Amino acid sequence: MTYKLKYRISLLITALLLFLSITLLAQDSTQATIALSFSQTDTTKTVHAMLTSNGKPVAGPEIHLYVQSLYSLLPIGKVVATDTTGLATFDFPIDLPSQNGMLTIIAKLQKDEKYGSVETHAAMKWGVTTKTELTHWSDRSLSASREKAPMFLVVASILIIGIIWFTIIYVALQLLRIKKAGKMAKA
Amino acid sequence: MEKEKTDGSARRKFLKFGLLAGGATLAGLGIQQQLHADTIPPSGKKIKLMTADGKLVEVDTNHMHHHVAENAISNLQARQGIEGKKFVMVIDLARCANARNCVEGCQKMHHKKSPVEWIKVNKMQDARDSAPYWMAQPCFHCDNPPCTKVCPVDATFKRNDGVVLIDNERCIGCRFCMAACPYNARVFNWGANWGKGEDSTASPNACVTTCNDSIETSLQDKMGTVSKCDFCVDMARQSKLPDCVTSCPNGTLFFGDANEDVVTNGEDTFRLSELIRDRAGYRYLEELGTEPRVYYLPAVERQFPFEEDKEIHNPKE
Amino acid sequence: MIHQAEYHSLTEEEQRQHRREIRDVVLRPLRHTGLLGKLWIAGLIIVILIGCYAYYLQLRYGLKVTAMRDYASWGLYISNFVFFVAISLVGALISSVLRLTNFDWYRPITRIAEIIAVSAIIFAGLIIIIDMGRPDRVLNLFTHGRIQSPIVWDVIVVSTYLVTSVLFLYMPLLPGIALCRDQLTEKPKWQRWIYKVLALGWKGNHGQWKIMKRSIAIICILIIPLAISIHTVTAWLFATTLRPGWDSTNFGPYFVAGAFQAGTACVIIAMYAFRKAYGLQKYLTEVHFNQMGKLLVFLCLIYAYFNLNEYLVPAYKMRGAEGKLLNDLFTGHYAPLYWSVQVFGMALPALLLLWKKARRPLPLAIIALFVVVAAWFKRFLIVTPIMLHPYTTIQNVPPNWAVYFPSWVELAIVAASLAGVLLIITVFSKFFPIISIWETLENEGIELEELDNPTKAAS
Repeated sequence: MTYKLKYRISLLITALLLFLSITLLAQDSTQATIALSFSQTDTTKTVHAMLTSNGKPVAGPEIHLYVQSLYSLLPIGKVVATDTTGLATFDFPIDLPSQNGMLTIIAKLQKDEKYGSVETHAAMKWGVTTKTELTHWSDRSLSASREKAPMFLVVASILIIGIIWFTIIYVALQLLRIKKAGKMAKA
Repeated sequence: MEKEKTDGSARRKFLKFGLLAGGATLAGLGIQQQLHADTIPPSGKKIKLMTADGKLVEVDTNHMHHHVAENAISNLQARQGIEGKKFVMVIDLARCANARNCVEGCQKMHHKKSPVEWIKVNKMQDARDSAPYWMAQPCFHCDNPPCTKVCPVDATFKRNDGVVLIDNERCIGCRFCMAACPYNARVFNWGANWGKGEDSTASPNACVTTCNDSIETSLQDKMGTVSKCDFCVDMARQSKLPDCVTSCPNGTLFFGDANEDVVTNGEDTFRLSELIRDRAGYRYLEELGTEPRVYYLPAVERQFPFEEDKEIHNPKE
Repeated sequence: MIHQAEYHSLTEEEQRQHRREIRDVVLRPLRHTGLLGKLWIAGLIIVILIGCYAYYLQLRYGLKVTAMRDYASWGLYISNFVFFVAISLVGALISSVLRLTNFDWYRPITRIAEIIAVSAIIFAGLIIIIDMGRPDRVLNLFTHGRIQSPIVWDVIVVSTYLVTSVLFLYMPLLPGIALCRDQLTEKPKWQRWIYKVLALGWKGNHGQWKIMKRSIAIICILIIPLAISIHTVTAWLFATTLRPGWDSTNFGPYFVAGAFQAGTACVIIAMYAFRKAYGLQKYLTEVHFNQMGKLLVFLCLIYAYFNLNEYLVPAYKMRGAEGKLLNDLFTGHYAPLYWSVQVFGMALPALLLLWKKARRPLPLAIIALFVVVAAWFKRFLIVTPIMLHPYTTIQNVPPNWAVYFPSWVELAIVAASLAGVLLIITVFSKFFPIISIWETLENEGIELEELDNPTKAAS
């Protein structure tokens, strides 16, 4: 490889690495964190998000609340801006279904000018356990697989086929009797 | 001395190529993220990638869009379904503008080409004087499926996660399910490699071989058997949305798990029950009693005015 | 044919002469085949061979060689299947229903009806396998069959009906086979061996007659519900779907009524053909044709009643997609075919045959031919037009997907299946007497004891 080429390649690599580091590290100049706390009564569930930076509460930025779902994040309620104490309060739906009752609740501060993007997760057993099975999947039905045929159909078909084929075989056996009757009459 | 020098330079060459490739991968992925929403025609732009066994290959940029091949799922698992899920789809007719990206995305995903379509976009007009609208129709994966009722060999079946699949190894090609489906969701493989799209993946270790592993992958279409939309359940196992959902530029199709009561189109996420309640969701031909798992949101407050088709689609076999 | 009283007024020699005459006439076709017969068989074989080649193409390239596509996914094979199942019901009608009544005139016809039934049902099964996309997996029907599926019901009843019909054909044939065994001594050894084996040592003694008659009585009763089932279940292949045009509660009886009508017309044609070709004027007399003509009128009228229910009632409502379909049938694309079928296949025959002159052999056979051809096209009208009128209009497909006209492969295979049915009937009539001699004689009042010794009687 020529010296010139070597030089060009190293330049390219450096540029790339620089680009990467800038994008990766450009995130934050100032750090901020969100702390989640939860409260509930008989009829309500509330999520409290406290936004602080270096120990001091931050007022003003809007916090989004989400619940983690299979493919994406489900937004909960509207965005709430933190009040003077840095607190944002969200009403949480009481009827959100979940397989085992566990929900992953995420609070996000998105692309803030000063603080960048901040995010916190918490797991709470605030989901309503639902029946996860399809209502009639394991029932016997006409649309089910062959092991789950409706009982009346199974019984009726076995009975009908049984009776008819019994008769047919009986008649077919008469042919043998005819043959025998022929032999007997030989004498 | 001579030998050492050549060895050393070879190593350096290798390292530099490696770094170049690594950086290119990252850059490429970044570009891919940007262009995620639209379908990319074969751009002709090639990218050098290092495969797992150290080979350097050139692949077209859009092929990194393909999903990772999954591990083999047994037939029994494929008939049971993904545990704890109840897949459901919502299609917002106020957004459908006949872009047909869903059709093309699905065709690309399942290696199909025109005129074989697993999701159809039809022009609908409810009454003589009512306004026409475009309607995307995949298979509805009905809860009271007329197709599974009539299959003589149990080749098509309903799973516990709501999806209706076809076992192409067992299908005898009687086409009774096609006659029974009132939505014409099913297509038939009338010949060998029927509607088989060009195998756009240049590298042989991509989908085609490993993706024949189970009934879920739906890439095992055989001549003389039936096939249809499968709600991309193999992608669901990797928490990826079906191709039709992600391809749509208008976010018309929403997909999700009814057990979580959440559907998303990749960008917006809603609670399924709220969406249907607030937007008056309904099901197509509800009176037939098939109980489809696809809801439609009426074409009101449309995002686009209705436009007739400018071209003829699927003009020939 | 002579009447009982007349027969007993003859001398013994004349009686023996009479019986010998019957046997000679009935056995003549088995003894030699004329040029026309040979040409006929050769023609049928050629058609079958062409069909075999067509099927080879279909196996090699797949069903794309047919004109069926995603919308018209059931085409000529299925309508032909329905036609064959329809024809095969006549075996039960003539052999069984009429046997249970006291209408004795039909007795010589029973075997013709039965062989039509057997060969039609055999080819019904074959054409269904031909329609399958994966015939190599046909065993899946038995290893993985779902009892909930109407196709499985159809397979069960059709195979049951086939076995029963074969028994029903075979048992009354025993005396005939014994006759062949004893009389056809000039035949090659293998043929004589077949007769010997199949005759089951038939001597015509009292014990054998008793067993045979009792067995026939049992099958008579068994086969009627079976026959009605096969066509009802076949009708349910369509009626259990949600398609407009098939979604009808009337389908079972509608199909069964049409089956009896079409099958009777087939028997009339066969009667005429055998009468002419084998010189059976004395046994398939004008009386028989007259009675069959009357039967055909009756069945046409019943079928017309069901047609009225099937088309008038939805036409009164003109619901959605069904309305479009009916428009297509009554005044649109299919109108010429639809009205020809209804007029020439049902209305006109019913009308013409009220007139005694029309019930003579030749006019009746021609009218019956119209009925059969119309019946075949009617089955087509029941299957494919409905598939081309789904709930959602057909859009964005290649032009040939929105219409259906059978390809040469389909036509060749269907023609071969029809030729196959005719070939089985023809070959059967060359090996076994097509008239049931003992039943004819019994009808004349000749007691069975006189048939005990066919060799003695023949001397």
